[in-house]
Amino acid sequence: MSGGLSVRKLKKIYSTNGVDLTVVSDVDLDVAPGEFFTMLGPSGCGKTTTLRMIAGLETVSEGSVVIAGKDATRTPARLRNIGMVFQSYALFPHLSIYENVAYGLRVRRLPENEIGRKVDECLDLLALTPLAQRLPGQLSGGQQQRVSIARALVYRPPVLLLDEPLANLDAKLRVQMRDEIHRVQRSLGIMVLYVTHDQEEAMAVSDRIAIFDRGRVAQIGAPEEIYDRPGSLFVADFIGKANFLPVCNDGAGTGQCLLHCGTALHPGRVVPLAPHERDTLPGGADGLLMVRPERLAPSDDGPLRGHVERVQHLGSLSRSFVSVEGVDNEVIVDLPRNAQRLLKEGENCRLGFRSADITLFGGAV
Amino acid sequence: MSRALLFFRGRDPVALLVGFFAILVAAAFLAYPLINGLVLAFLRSGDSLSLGNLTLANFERFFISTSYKRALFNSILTSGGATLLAAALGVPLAFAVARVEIAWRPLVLALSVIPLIAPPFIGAYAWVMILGNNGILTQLMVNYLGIRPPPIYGPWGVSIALALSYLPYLFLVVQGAIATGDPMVEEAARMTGASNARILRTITLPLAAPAIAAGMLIVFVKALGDFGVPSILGGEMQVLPTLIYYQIHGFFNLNAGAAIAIVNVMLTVAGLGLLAFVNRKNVSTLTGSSRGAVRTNTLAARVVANGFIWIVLFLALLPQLMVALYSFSLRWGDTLFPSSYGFDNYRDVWVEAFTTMGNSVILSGATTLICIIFGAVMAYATVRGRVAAKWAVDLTIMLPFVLPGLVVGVAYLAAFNDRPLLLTGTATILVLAYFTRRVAFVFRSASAAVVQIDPKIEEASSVCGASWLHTMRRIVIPLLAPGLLAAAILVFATLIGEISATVLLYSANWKPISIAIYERVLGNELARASALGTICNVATLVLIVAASRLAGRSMSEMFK
Repeated sequence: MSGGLSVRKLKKIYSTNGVDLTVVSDVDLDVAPGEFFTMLGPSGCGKTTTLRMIAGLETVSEGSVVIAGKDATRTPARLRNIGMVFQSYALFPHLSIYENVAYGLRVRRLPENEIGRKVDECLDLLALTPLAQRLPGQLSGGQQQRVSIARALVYRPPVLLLDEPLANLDAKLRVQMRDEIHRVQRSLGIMVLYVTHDQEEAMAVSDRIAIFDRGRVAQIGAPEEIYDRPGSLFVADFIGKANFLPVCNDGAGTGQCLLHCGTALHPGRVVPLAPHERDTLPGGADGLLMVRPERLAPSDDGPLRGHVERVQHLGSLSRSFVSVEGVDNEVIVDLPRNAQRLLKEGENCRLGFRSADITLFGGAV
Repeated sequence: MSRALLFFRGRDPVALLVGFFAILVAAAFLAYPLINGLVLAFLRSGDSLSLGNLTLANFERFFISTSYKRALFNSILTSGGATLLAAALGVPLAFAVARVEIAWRPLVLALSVIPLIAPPFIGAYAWVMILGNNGILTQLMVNYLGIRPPPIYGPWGVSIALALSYLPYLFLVVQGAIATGDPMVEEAARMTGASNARILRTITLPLAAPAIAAGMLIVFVKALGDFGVPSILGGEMQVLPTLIYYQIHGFFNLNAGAAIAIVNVMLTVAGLGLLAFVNRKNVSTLTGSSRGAVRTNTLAARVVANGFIWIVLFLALLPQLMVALYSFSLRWGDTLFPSSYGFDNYRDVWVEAFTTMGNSVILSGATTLICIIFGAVMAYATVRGRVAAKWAVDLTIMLPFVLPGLVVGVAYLAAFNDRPLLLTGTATILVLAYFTRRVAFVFRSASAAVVQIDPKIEEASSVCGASWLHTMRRIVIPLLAPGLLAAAILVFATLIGEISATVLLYSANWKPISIAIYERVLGNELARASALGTICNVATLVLIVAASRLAGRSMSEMFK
């Protein structure tokens, strides 16, 4: 992977007063040129620290960072030739928009006419041309973030790093800017390394996502893969909405497992297991079955018996909260508003799902 | 990897070098003279430093000598009196300005800082002109009413002059606290049915208490360290700073001077301790309301507030007005205003004004330059965490801030009185002493300015490919410049009138204008002193106005 970015066994230890605190460990990442790669996780999971080590703004305690085939582990930030966009924009408040964007080119001592051409091109790409002579303080948050992107792109770095670039924007602008970043990335074909805690944002724009959990990578994969086949309970819970149902392998080697919920015995309580899931949940073992809310539907012979507590109308879908016997949390059911059968508040119901739509986790109950 | 090595790893060598140099300078010119002065206080005059020579003899006099005991008592009396008087005038003034709808608020705030700009001792001799033995008001009262007002010389006069000089500090602190207080807290109290008087007593005043205490402490500390006012208005009365001065000028007893200085500092520290005690229950406002305090708009409140504000302002500005008027007067007998005017006083002092003002400008200018460079570097290094011992830097820089000018004077006189560090009588020693007294000011405003710069901005610059020096030159320094320039002018302007450190350290070759004025006052040439004083005041005022314009801040904000 010559033009890409690769991170091996990356580790960050902070020591304060002799106490070592490991915030990042054993992080391995490979990002291909032109790929939109996202590091996603809750706050304090080490994703930003990893990004800052790649940028050269934090020292690397152990491991290596290779950018475009060159080992950059000990290279100072200014010599890594990368672009970076900060959450707080970090624009130079005393310089005009034009000069902010030109900054990296002036540092590189390019001839004036070339600077002018490249800056104009970049301002045009981000629709900033009319604002060129303004100062950052006179711009809105979204405009400032566009300037910040232009400043990072103007010298055409092999990789663009974005650290929570949308966190300071309001909800509507966030979606707009997200699409803008996606558009620019696609049109330039540049490699992007993106950090966010917002899973919807990550799902929307990423080619691949690395989920971070307590300083480690929990799973790497395409968005749909992570959503449909989460590798761990943490990932399943962090990405999207999930219902967890306690289950037990019936132990008879029949390739079936029993739902713990509900007292009345009926055939629906038995869920057939796919072959690979028999390894996850060996005979007699307890585990959890995860099913996404939109994969549940009312069904007369469904395995879950419940009572519809509340129904919310969320635009295109109707979200029902159903209390199910034997399950602690209310089960969430998302149905399209135009579904043939919707749930009504206060009714008793049976819920079913397809065995292809479930993920089993062993061990924890 | 060991911790020492970890410290150096990933740090810019330039940043380390800068921090190291800063500590070196702080040690040589801040720590050394102060520690040296401290040691000196425990030695007899003429003794060299050895363990056996250490003695408490210099402090003994506070128990046996009447003049020492008197001076200590008078210091506490006049400073305490000035503090109470300043609070009695300043707290209602602050409420009037902050909570009543008054006309010309910016003008009131700007006028209120003028007493801070003008050196207090100039105000002090104005009181002599007004209420001295031959003062205008004294003569008017004797001639027309047949009564002689009580003499201005002594504890009363000193307390009043000090109170009016340092009142603005208290006023600004309290006014700021009341004006920015969250009105919703009081609205909540009102919703529970509390009366206005009850709200004032149970909510507003307790919330303003820390600011009032802080303001009173500033007045107390400043009054304790003031030399000019008691030396002019004290008459026979001695206070600690004047006692230091006479011990050194009269007997050249540095050791005794140092011992008195330590007692003086201990009083200051006691004041600080008292403040910490008062503020031990740290009640800070919990919310960040963007609304300012609600201002009363009733006619009665406005009449009372305006009347009070202008009376206090008139009293506080009266000395400066007197000086200005006196400088143009040729004859001022027993009338309310001079009977003839002219420029004679200015003509008489013109040459002296020119040379001494020149000296002042050179001394203050050099100090300002050093203060700015050093203060900014130290501030940057400490805020950005590139200095190992932050607490040491803080201490050495902030300590002289609470030290009276005469104490710094004594410390410098003692530290640089011998070869190879023989600096007494030179311009250098004045510059260094000024530096010690003012660097904290630059350090504070530079620190505040550095904190304002998001470290991510510097990171953005280095990710763009810029070196540390390039980032400093193109990003950090331009961003700090306005604040630094304002601080520079303020340092410069307040040094022009500095007297309490100067009086011990100046030499005939380098006589600044403040000393020239002081000498004229002592020689009872009040009209000529007024001409010099007016030149000094106007120059200072112009500079401060320029500084506030440059910084885009109002004049009253500059002194917070």
